[in-house]
Amino acid sequence: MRTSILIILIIRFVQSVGFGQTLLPPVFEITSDTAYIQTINSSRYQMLEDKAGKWTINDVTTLPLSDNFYYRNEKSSTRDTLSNVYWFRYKLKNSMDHEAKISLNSESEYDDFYLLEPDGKWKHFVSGVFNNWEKKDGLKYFNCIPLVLKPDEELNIYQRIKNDAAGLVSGFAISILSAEKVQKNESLVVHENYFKKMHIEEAFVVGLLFLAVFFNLFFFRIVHEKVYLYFALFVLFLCINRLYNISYSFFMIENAEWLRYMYYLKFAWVFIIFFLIQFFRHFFETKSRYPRWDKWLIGLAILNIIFYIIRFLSKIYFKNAYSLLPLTVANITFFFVPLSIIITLFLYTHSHDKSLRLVIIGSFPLMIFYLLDSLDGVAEALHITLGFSTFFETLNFYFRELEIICVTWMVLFFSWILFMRYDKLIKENAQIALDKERFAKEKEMEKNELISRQKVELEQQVAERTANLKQSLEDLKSTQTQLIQAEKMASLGELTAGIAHEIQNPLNFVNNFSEVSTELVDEMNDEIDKGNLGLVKEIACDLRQNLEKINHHGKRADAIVKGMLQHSRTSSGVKEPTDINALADEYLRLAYHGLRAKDKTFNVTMKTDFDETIGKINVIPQDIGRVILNLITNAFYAVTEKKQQLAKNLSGLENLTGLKGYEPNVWVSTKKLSNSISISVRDNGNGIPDKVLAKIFQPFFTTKPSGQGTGLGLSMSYEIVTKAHGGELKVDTKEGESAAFTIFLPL
Amino acid sequence: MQRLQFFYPYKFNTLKMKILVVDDERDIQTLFEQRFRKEIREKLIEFVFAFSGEEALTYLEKNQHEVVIILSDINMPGMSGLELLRHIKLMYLKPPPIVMMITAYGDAENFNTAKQLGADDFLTKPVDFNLLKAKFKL
Repeated sequence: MRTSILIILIIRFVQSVGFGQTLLPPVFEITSDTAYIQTINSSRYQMLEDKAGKWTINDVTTLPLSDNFYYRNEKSSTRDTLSNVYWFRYKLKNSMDHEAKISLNSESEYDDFYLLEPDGKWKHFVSGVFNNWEKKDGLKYFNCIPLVLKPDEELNIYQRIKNDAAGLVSGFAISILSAEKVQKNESLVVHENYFKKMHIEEAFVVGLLFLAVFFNLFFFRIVHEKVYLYFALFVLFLCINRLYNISYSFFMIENAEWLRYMYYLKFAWVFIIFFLIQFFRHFFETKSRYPRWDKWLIGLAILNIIFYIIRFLSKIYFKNAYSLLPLTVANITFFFVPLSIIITLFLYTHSHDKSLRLVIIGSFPLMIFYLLDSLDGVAEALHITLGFSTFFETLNFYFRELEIICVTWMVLFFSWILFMRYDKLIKENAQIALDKERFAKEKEMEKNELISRQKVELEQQVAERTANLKQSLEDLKSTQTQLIQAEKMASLGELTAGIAHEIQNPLNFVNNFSEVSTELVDEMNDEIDKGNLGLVKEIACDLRQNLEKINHHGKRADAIVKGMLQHSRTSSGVKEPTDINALADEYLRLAYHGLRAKDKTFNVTMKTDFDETIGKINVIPQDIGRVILNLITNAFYAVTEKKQQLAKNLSGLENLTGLKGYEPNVWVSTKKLSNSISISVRDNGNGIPDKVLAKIFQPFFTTKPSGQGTGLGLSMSYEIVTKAHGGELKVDTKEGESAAFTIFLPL
Repeated sequence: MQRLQFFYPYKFNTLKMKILVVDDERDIQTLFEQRFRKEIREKLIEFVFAFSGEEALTYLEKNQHEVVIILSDINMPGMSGLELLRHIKLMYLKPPPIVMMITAYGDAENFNTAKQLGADDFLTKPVDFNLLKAKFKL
């Protein structure tokens, strides 16, 4: 017995020597298999750094490596702990009186579990997030290896972990899970080696959410209301966030290593919070109604962004370690988000706006869910630190389904509300457009009316103006007639004095001759008494001569009066055979005396040269007479003017006579040509300057001082000669020396 | 109109008083010859006629001392009666003839000018022959 005990002791010793430091850590006794998670105390496991990562299970279970295992808490500064691969070994024992259903928990990227079989062989299990589905053992989704331990059964376990990042993260722990609970969770997700339709449903929901995004972006593009943009962005980031779960499941199968990138999708969460708050702010117009509350919401959104970024970065840099402070702070900050939104909703419960009430109904479940979720997050953090579990644990398993339902509920409600709002806006816009159009139409009509009214006014004005113009024209015509008459009367006025003189002279003769005749008759009687017949006869001859004289001068006066009447009469317009020479002579005399009467100092030498062969010409005598009179008057005026100009420098008596070598002359001549006759009036006055020569036949052109000439004389003369008689009126002048007007009348 | 009183400087020589009548009307000759036919026949008076101012001057230049009285019309073509008067006064005839102006227009301007130029008398047409005879002191 003793030897056997000794042998056993020796064997034990040898065994202990053979394994060297093969002393395994104390057994971890399993006292419960219902707790979801049990962390193995660091005094119950040993670890080994595998710097090269090339050791096998045989390497680490035999000397010398098996001696190098050490307890994690006795880690010294001399030890290098920055490796990618670590080996752990621990011993589990079922201390319960029934089978312990537990599962080994993989928390690293690549995990290998080695279990010592009773036959001394190592049974190998593969797990880890980044191992592909087919390669993995046990519960693949949750990365667990389920085991069954009989009562009092012990199990030696070697666990190899591998991470991309070097070193152990601070929160790393060896733990075991309740196999039943994990199995239950796994069965919710995985069915017959593949994912359940929940993922398909979720993918469907995500698709629906994407549709909602596009619809709201479309609405935003049309109505330009920020509410739509914020809602669309909120839903978009919600989709991205949800993609994490789908993609996680998807990549887990064949490309598990890619999952490391999927993690970044979680960052979308920060935008979800931000745009959700923005949406509520804009939808409820908190800025104008509750400015202080609005400020709080903005602050909350910003704080969430900051703390979430800190939390996210800490997760990236510390890998799967739980940096408690950022996590807790972020979770607590998020806790206020649903809370604040719920408070906001309550602020508007009294509102009568239907859409507001719908928003409240739509968003309430999700907000409650988020509120509970954030409480869960806080609790989770507390659980890890303080080591107690909460009832939220169970909620966690239904988290995704519940969230999907709430989100869908809210998105559907909101989409419906926003669609109604959009519809309302579109209708309003249409109404506005319609009003605008109607307004434009009314304006157009007003404008047209105005135009037509203006047109009528304009027509009236035109009619008035036309009437005025007609009146003016008639006035002008009558003025013209009056002017012509005035011109006639002016020339008549010029004539009057001449005519008076012309009549006076013959009348004087008539008187004188008749007086002397009376005397002669007396004398004759005396001589008859005396019987002096010779003398009587002589007296009788004289008497006869006197009577002839009386007769002659009487006729002369008669002719003058007739001429005067003829001149003042309106032109008969009838051509009659006229003695041009007599006509010219008559008017020459009239003109001369007329001027003479006006200006006593006027004197001019008139020279006539009449061609007696022309005989009688068919003309309108008054008109041609007027032309001749006009030309002669002009000639007289010209010579007088020149004389006065010359006399300006003279003085005294010389001034009166103007004897300074200038003798004013006016020539009037007639001539018979081959098929016409000419009447020429020439003077040696100043002539006509070239610059006015072109204008002299224009109406109202005159060089005389104002009031002295009508300016119609030459233009009327021109008309009479050219139009009424088909003749020509030509002017030949030499400036400063002479001017000659010649009338050509066709035979 | 103002009527002036003219005073002749000397008595007419009753023998063969030569009077120059200047007028563009030729019939004036007949009229004068008939009016003064007795005086002409008795050779108390002799008339010379000129039918323009120029003609009168030509005559006066040739027969300086014969003409005692000059009767001149004012309104004549060419040289007017006033011009003639001026010329006569410039000729310094010895003895200076009496110049009487006759005009149809008895206006002040002509009258003043005539007086200024040294006319001795101023008559208006129609000529009052009895008055003229009185002036001649016949």
